[in-house]
Amino acid sequence: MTNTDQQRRIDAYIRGKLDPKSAADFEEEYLQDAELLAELELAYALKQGLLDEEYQPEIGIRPAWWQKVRNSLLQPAGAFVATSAIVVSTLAFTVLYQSRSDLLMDQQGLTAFQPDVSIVTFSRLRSARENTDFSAIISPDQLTSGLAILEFEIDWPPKPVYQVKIAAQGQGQQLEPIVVSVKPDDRGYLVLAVPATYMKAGDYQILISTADNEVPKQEFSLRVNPTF
Amino acid sequence: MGNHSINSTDQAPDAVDNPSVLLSERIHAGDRSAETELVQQFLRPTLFMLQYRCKNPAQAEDLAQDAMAIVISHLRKSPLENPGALPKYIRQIAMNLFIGEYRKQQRQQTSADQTTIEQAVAEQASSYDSVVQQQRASAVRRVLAELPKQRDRQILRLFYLAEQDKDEICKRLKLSSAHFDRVLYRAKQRLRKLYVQEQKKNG
Repeated sequence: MTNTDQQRRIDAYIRGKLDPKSAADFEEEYLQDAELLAELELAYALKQGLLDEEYQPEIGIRPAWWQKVRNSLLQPAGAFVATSAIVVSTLAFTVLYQSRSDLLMDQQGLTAFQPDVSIVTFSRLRSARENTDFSAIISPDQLTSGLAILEFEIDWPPKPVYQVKIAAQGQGQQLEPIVVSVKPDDRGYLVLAVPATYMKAGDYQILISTADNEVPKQEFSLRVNPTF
Repeated sequence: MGNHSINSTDQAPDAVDNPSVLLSERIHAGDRSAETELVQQFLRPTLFMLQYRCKNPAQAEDLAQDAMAIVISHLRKSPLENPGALPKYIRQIAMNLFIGEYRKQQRQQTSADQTTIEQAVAEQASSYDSVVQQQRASAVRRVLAELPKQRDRQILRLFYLAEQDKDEICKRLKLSSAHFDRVLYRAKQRLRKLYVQEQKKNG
């Protein structure tokens, strides 16, 4: 089979165009052919990336409605309306602040609470390995499968979204920090899948905060051990 | 075990030259390193196969791990009649698990109550693979940005997302077959290069 034919098969499989028998044969083939699997993963990544892009437009690309708003703001009448809106909003906020400062104080009182990160699990066999000392263990299968799973249990506060930053520490670590917004799952855990190549043996600084910065950031270290 | 009865006609002619053929017997003989080899060799493609089907990475991982555990457990008890059919056997186990899970979900979804709706929304919004997703999206964005023409982007979208056939796309966009092949080939080559760079950067 030529390379072009193989690529055609790969694309046909990715696009769901193979009949069930051919798809089954193809799956048996790539189960034992690492090179074919790598090609397949590439085509799949391209498709999934296109899909991700379709639903997460790049920042900087302005939609049509924004162009309309922008153009209208550049007109004298539009600029007047925008300036008036800003002045009215500022006045309204000042009045609210003075009359209901008690409410704002209560809000600030929340900062006394901190997220309680009680369990960090770092394993594909999630229920099997838990570490309360923030040490983590990396297993050989994590390295081969390409993904490492990080779970953080958040006891408080129950926020809809958290910001998690993972930064490799120490000399020799040249990795860029990973920053991601995570929604807690129904168990109250923040679950992240990061490339296993990123989570090598060594120390990592984890920073968890609420998206609105209403509570102080929770910072702790994570040590990844290389073997069981 | 019924699953062990993979027909001997399934054996490929060069099966005896395939190192995976021996895995079944070694696992049955109690060789623990053979079990590790099996996982190293088959977990990733099994995971890919399941991810391709069930779209939920967390669920695919659970199923792939279960499949490996079941295969090892079965092989410990008795080796395959035809060791050359190990990939077929693994696929069968993985597919059975997937179908079982799918049926279970279908049964649970018979009454669309609020919980189910919330669950569905949560699954849609799941950030489980957000890091990988962001990196992948970023690499593909770079590839797309580097494409010389808007039309080339359109080709990829029509082919992979709209799932239109090559002939259809060529006709619609008035392209030659060679141009179509070139766009696809270059996009994959560039993506491969970016992935390798990313892996090097991550050590």
